[in-house]
Amino acid sequence: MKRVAVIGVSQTRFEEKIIDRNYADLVHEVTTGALQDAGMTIDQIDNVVTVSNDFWDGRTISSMAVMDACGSYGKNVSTVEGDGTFGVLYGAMRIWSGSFGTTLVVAHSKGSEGSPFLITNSMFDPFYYRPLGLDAISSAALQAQAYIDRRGASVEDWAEVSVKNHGNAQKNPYAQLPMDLTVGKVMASPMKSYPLKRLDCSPVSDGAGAIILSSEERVNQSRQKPVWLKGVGYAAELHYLGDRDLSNPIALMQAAKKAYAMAGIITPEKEIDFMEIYEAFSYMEPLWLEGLGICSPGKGGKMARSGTTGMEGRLPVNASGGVLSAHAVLVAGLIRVIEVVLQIRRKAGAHQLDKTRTGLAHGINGPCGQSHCVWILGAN
Amino acid sequence: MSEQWRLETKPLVYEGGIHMPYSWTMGETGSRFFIEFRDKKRIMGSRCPKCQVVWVPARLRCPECYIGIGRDLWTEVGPNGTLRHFTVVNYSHPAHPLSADFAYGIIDLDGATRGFTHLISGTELTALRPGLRLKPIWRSERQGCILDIEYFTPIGGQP
Repeated sequence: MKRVAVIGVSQTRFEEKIIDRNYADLVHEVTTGALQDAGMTIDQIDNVVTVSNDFWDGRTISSMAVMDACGSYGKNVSTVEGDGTFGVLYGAMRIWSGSFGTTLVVAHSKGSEGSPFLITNSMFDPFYYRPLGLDAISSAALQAQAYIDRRGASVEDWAEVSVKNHGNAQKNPYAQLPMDLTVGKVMASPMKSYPLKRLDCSPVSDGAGAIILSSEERVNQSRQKPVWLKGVGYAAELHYLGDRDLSNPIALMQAAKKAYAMAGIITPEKEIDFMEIYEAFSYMEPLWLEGLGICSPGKGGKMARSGTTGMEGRLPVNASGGVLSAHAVLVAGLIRVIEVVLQIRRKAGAHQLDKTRTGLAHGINGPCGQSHCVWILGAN
Repeated sequence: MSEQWRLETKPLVYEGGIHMPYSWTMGETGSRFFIEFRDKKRIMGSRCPKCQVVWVPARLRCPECYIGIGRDLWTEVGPNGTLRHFTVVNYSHPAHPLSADFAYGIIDLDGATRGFTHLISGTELTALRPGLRLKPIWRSERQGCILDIEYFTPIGGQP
């Protein structure tokens, strides 16, 4: 298969409410930012993939509102309504297919402008689930409880994840919620939906991100050293929460297996140096680590508690502060890819890790991680 | 870029909203399922002829085997069941059918293989535990929708 690389990246600072730029302005900011990062002009972009959701934007065909802003005039442009990791997938496929040499992938979201409750309630079917009033938090709480019931997970271990990631965010100028926490502070935060407390939940942020993908032939157009897409896997499971074993992320296991096989990875816990994974809630980090095959079922909680996933640990996870510290919906998966790229380039700044030869970026879509996308990126 | 702009003017916010009515057709499977709710207070599942899983609500086809499930393979499940997982919701929103605090549960209805998600109320929520036996509280006026069951509650009242 043709090799595809990331040759330009950009992200906004993530905030609770950005009032001086509308969402097209954010798209313009990161599009020009990615071009600047690469030292390229818009003429060198063959096609564009935008990532947006009509309900979050409050208009239909929300992608059309950012067409000017992403410089797609006269170009082939298409949209992913889903997490940014799937936008990268679509963008990369357009290069793998031979149709294009470069793709700009740009994602935006302003959670502050709509009602996160009503928008996430609307992800459920209108007959059986939506009228119950479930939303992102209460449905995640059912998964969190399933994780306790079936795998013996502990809320104190999740608090460790919150402490770690908000702590890491103190070194990331793009993060919304840098915090100096303790397990006690997390445990004492107000209960949202048992067993999830406020500091187990991510914020809903405003922000955007963009990357430029390139075929091997075109990577020299960028002044940046290419970071290669080594492997990808993606899978989905059933929609109704009752149909699924919420404690067993089978779609993630399938996605990870495919990504590792494509990247030639046999022992992921040894061959992957660091990870950026989509933990919209604290419990998701250990549960996804189990799904990624990094530890056995029920052992994910030990990873943060033992320091293994800390900045100085054997396998740093979410050195950026993760989704708990900045969660622009849909954008957050693209930010995981961007953070992995910055680490591999050795340009992550204050949260730069030591060992960054091979990194993993992960995104989710749908209630309780109904679908997953796993990327392996590397320097060579 | 924005600093000077901020000094010169105040950012404006347009307060809008979208109120969009829909008439969602339930189709044959959904209609049959909810007519059983409305007219007979019965919860229907469907057994996949291949994997033997009893899905609830009843399905046109097995989501995993992707083969059709005929009407002859519909089977009544519950109405009582066992609590699998639950959450107690501490925040309120007008779109919630009950006022906080209330609970959601994934309930293993008797005779079903997969879980049924619904509200739990009418009991001391701190006493909820997996394994608790639950029964549905049906509304007297039923319209053929999921909220024809007001909520599930422990059999025998307080657990």
